[in-house]
Amino acid sequence: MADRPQLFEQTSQYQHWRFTRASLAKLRAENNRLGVERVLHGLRQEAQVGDQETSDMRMAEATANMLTPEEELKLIDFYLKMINVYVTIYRASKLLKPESLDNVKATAINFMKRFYLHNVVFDYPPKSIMLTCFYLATKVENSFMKIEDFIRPLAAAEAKRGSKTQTKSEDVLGLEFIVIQSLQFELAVHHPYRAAYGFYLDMQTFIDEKDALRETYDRTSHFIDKSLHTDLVFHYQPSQIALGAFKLAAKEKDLDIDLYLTQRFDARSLELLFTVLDEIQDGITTFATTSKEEAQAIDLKLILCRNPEKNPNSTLYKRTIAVQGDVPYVSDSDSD
Amino acid sequence: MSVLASALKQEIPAFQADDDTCPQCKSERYLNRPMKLLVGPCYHKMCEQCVSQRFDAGPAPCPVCERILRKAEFYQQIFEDLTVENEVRIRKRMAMTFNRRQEDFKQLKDYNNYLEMVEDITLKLLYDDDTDEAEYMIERYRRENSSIIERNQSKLLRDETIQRLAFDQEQQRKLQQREEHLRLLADEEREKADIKNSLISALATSNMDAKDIVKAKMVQLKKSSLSVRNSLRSTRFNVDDLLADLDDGDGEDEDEADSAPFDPAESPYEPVKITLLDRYDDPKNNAFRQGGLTAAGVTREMHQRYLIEGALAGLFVSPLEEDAASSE
Amino acid sequence: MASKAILGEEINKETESLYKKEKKLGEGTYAVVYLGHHIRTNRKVAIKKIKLGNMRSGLDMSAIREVKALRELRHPNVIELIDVFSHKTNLNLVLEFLDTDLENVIKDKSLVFMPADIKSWMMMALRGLDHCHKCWLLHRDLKPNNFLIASDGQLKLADFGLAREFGDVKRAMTSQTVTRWYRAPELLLGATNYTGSIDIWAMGCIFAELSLRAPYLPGASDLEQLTTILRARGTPTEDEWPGMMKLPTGYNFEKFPKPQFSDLFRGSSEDAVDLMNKMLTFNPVQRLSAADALQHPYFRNLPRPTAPAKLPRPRQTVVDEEEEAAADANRKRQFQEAFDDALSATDADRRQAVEPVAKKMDLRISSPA
Repeated sequence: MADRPQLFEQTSQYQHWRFTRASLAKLRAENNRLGVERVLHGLRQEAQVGDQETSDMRMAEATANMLTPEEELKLIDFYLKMINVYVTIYRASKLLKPESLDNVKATAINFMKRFYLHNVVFDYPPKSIMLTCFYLATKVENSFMKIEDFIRPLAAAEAKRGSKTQTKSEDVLGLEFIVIQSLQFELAVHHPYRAAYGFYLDMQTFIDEKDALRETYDRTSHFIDKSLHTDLVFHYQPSQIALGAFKLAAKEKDLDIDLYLTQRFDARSLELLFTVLDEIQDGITTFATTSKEEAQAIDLKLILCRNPEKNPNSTLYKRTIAVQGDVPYVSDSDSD
Repeated sequence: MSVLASALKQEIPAFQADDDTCPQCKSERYLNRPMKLLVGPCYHKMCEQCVSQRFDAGPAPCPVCERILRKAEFYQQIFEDLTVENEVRIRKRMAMTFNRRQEDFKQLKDYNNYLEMVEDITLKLLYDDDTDEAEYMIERYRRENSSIIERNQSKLLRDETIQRLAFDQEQQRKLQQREEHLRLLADEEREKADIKNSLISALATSNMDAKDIVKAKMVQLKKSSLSVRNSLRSTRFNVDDLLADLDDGDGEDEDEADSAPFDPAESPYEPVKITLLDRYDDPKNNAFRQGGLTAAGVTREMHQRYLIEGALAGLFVSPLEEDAASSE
Repeated sequence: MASKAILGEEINKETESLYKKEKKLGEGTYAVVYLGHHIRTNRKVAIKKIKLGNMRSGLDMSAIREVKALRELRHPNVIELIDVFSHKTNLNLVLEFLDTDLENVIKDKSLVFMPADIKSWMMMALRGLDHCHKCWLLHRDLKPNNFLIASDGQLKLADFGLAREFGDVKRAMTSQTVTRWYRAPELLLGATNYTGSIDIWAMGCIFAELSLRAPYLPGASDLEQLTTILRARGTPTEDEWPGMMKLPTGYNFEKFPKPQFSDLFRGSSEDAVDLMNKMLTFNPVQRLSAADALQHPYFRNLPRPTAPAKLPRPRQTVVDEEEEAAADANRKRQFQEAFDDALSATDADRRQAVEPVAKKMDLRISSPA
C-alpha cells in the first residue's frame, strides 16, 4: 500500500470528472430540470416584450415539446459523431497533422460531453457548441490554427451541401468562454491511445506471436474510437479502457491476452481488473448510437423549446442587447 | 574610493592576431609563436628582430612609407584598432604634463577653460594638424607650470600607493579571517569526533540505559558547538568566495537538521518504477535509427517509458462505488 | 466542485465572488496582476487577469497552456493555481501570492550569497522541475525571474505560458522557445522534438548565474548565442555529441577550445562545478535529468542547504545611512594611517610602488561583480 499518492491522482480528470452511473444520471436530470425552468422563465420574459397571444402559443408549444434528459443525450450523441466527420475534413485540407488527429478528436468529444454536464441544450444547442469544442481542442492539443483557417473548410462544406447557414468566426469564438467556464478551466484530458501503445510494447514481454499482436494493436484504435462516445470515460481510467479495447481487438484476431495479464500482474489486483475489463467491453459493444432521423426529430422539437434568453435570434435577446449593450451576463465584481 | 583592479597598475596583454606576418622578413606567427610585432608612429608594423636589424645603427627610413624613424618610436600594439592605439598614446602623453585637477581651480569656469585648452592641443596632435604649434604650446606650458606639474604628480603617486595598501590590507584581513574560520571548524570537528568516541565507549562500558547516555552526550555536544558558533558570529563579515567550504553558522536547530536524514530528491508522490526490455518491436524503431531524435535527447528509452507509464497509470483503480456517491 | 451551482455560468460567478481584488501589482502586455484575498479565509492571492483581444483567434494560446499546465500540477515548489474564473472577456487566474523572485535576489547587490544558499535554491528549483518532468511537462521558459519566492523562503516555479507535454515522439514542437540566454544548444540547432534536458540546460545557466551574480551565457543575438556557448564551453566533437550534425541547422562550427571552468567559478566548490558541467553537457542524452541532478553528491555534501526561511531576501527597508557613513569614515581613517606609515619608508620603496604588479587581467564582459 502506497503512503504517498500516485502522480495520476493529481490530474483534474481523476479528481473532478469521475462519476458513478447514478450520479451521472442524476446530474443530467438536474441539468434538464433547471433547463426547463430557464426556458419557461425566458418565455415569460419574452411574453412581456411581445403580444399575449403569440407568447401563450409559444409557451404551449414549448411545454409540449420539452426535451427529456434521454432526448438531450441522444441529440448530443449525434453531434459528437459529427466531430469525426469534421476531423476528416480538416485532415483533408491539411490543417490537422495525421499524428494529432486522435488527440484532437478525443479531446473535442470529451469537452462536449463534459460541457453538457454543466449546461443544457436549451441554452446552447449542440450544433454550435460542437464547433467551439473542436476549435478549443485544437488549441489545447497543440494543433492551433487561426480562426480564418478553421472557418474556411466549414464554409466550403456548407456551400457544397447547399446549406443556408454559414458559420462565421463570431459563432465559434463567441462561445469559447462559455465552454471553458463549463469545463471549469480543466483542459488536460488523457486518452486511451497512449496506454494502448504502451500495452502493445509491454505485452511483448510475454506474447511471442508478433504479427498477431501487431494486428491486434492496429485494430485497437477502432474500439477506442468507439469508446469515446460512451460514458466509459467518466467511470474508468484511460489505461483500463485501452486494455478493454485491446481485449475486444484480440478476440477478433484470436489472440489471448489473459495469459499476459496473469503473468504480468498479481492475482489480487487482477480480480478487480477482470471485472472492470468486462464492464468496459460491454460498454463499448452495447452502445447504441443515434440515427439521423431520430436526431432530426429532436432538433425540430428543440427549435420550439429553446431558451429565448440565450437565443441570438429571439426578440428577447435582441431587446436585451439593445438595452444593456451586452450579452445578458450579470456579475457583481468590480468593473475592469 | 574603489579598491578595484583599475586602480592597480596591471600588465595589459598586447594585441596579437593569429595570422600576423612580419612584412619584412615574412615570418609568420603561426610558425614563430613568440614573435613580437611592433608598430611605428606611421602605423607600419615590423617584428622585433627586424626593428633591431634596421634601427640599431640609428635613424632610418620606414620600409613602407620612407618616413625617418628611430628605434625608440616603436612600441607594442595594445588595441586592435590602430587609431585607438594612437589616441590612447597621445592622451597618456598629454596627461603627464597637463595634470591639473578640479580642486586646483577656484571656479568651475576656469577649470572648464583649462580643459578646453588641453583638448584643443590634443586634437591638433590627433589629427596631425599643426603639430609644431601643438608641441610648442606643450613645451611652453611645461616651462611655466613646472612646479604645479610636479606637485600633482606626487599627489597621484600618493593616491595610488594608498589604494594599493588598502587592497593589500584587505587581502590580508580576508586571509586571516579565513584561516581563523578553518581553524575553528577543525576544532569543532575534532571535538565532535571526541565526543562521539566517548559516547561509543560509554555505551560499551556503562550500565545506564542507552537512551540516557545518548541524551546526556547530545546535550554536551550541543553546548560545545554552540560556543563555537557564538565565536563565529562575533567575527562575521561580508565576503563571499573565500568562504567556499564553510557553513552559515546561524542556529541551534541546524544541529537537528544535520542529524536528521536528508533526501534531496524528496517528493510528495510515489515514484514510478518500470523495467524495460532491451528490444521492442516498434513502428518507431526506424525513426530512431536516423539519429536526429537521439541528437536532441529523445531516446528509445524515454519514448518507451512514456508509453508504458501511460499503460500502467491507474490500471488498478476501482470505479466509484455505485451506492456511496448519491449526492455531489 | 459544484455544491449548489451546477450550470457553468453560475459556478463561475460563485468562484468570482470568492475573491476580492485590492490593488494593482504590475502590468504587462499580456496580463495585469492584482493583489487580492479570499473573502472568507483572508488568504492573500495574486489575481492574474489575462487580457484578451490580443489574439484575433479568441483565447490566447499561452493562457491556455498556463491554465492547462497549472491545473494539473501540485507540488511545494510549483506555484499553486488556486482558482480560475472568467469575467466578461477576461480570464482571471487566482494564484498564490509570492512577493519576489530569483532575479530580484541576484540583482540586489546588498545581499551576499553563501554556497549553502545557492544549494538551497537549486535544490528547490530542481525538485519543482523534476515534478513537472515526471508529469511529462516541459516548462520551456526557465529563467531567474520565473522562480518566485514566498515569504517563507520557498522557491516556486511559475509562468507556464510556454509549457507543453513531451514524450510523444510523433508530435513536432517549435525550436523557437526559451529566453535566448538560457536556450539549449539542441534548440539553437533547430530540434523539433526534444525533452526535459532543455530545461536542465537552463537550470545549469541559472546555477552559473547564481555563482557569478551575472548571466553566464549572454548572447547578443540569436545567431550569436551559439557562438557564445561554444566559446564558453568549448566546441563539442562528434564523439561527445553524436548526431549533432543531423539536427536541422547543424553545420561545421568554429572550433573553440574547452576552457578551465574552475578558473571562472573560483568561488564555487568542486562538486558544484562538477554538477554545473553535467547540467551543461552538450549531448542532451548525457545531460543530467532533474532526478539525477538531485542525487548528485553536491546536495549531500556539506554545507547543508540553507533552510528556506533563512535565505537572503531583497530588503524592503532603506539602509541605515548613518551606519554606512560611519563605516566609511572608519575605513578612510585606516587608509590614512597606513599611508602615513608607508610614507616613512625609503625612496627605494617609492620607486617599487610605481613598477606595475604583473597580474593577468580578465577581459571577459561578464566579470564577477
